[in-house]
Amino acid sequence: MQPIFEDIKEGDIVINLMKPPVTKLQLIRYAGASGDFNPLHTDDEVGRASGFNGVVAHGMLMMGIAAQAVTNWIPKSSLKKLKVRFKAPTRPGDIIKVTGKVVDKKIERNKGIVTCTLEAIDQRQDVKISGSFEAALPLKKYI
Amino acid sequence: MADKNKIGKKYPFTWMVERGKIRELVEAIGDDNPIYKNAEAAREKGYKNIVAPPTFAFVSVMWSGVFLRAINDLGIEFARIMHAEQGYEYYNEIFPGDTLIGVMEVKEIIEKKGKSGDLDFIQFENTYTNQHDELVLREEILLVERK
Repeated sequence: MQPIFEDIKEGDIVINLMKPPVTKLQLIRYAGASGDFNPLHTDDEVGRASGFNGVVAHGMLMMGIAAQAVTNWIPKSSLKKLKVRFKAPTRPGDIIKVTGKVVDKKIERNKGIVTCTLEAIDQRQDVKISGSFEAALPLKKYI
Repeated sequence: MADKNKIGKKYPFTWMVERGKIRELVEAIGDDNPIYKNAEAAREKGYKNIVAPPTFAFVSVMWSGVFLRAINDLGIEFARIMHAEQGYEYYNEIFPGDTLIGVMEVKEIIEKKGKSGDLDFIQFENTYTNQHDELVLREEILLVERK
């Protein structure tokens, strides 16, 4: 069901997605899919030389996971803005949870604009990415 | 350090959107939303075909080669880059068969002193239109180069 503007309140937790652990194979697949072949994401030696304990996930994979969480809640076509900051590296084995909270609501041009914060944390509660998104939701009177 | 004379420089690129590239991306992410893989499911949700997921534009930046072209032109070392921020504003959907016409622009280069050495922040702003001359999306990329 598509969320309706009037049914949503500021402070609502609207997104809560738990992902299976990130795997090395996933990073290799993401490298091929995205075309980002920085060896930091696929070669443990390079990861260690860069001061990590091995390979780290692509930031854009993490953003892709955050976007998955968003478009599980609202239709893709309702998403108007999405912005994230990469706060800490994600490593294979990390279990990522994405949450989103409504922080603002307003009506513009017969659409309900909802602004939410977005955060991805791991099993140690380390924040991997934080950000926000904006969605244009239908109003009750137009349904 | 990134070449500050290149602030304002634009790097054009084009990229043909393939259904297989969309599928590879969502499968790597682990996003099983059927609108990205199944045309019938996408039509049921009101799209005219499979659509590309929200972070798909970055695939065209990487696979078209424009990212490395810009990075090399700026004198940035790929292995020293960290991704700091990424942002999107969406205007129209991306479908398989579309041609994305992109312009990658260097908006800003800022030097900052970090705890473990100096950092360069490089801000790109990319604009995408399609073969119908419709604005598709805007993309902001903020990179950090560790020196």
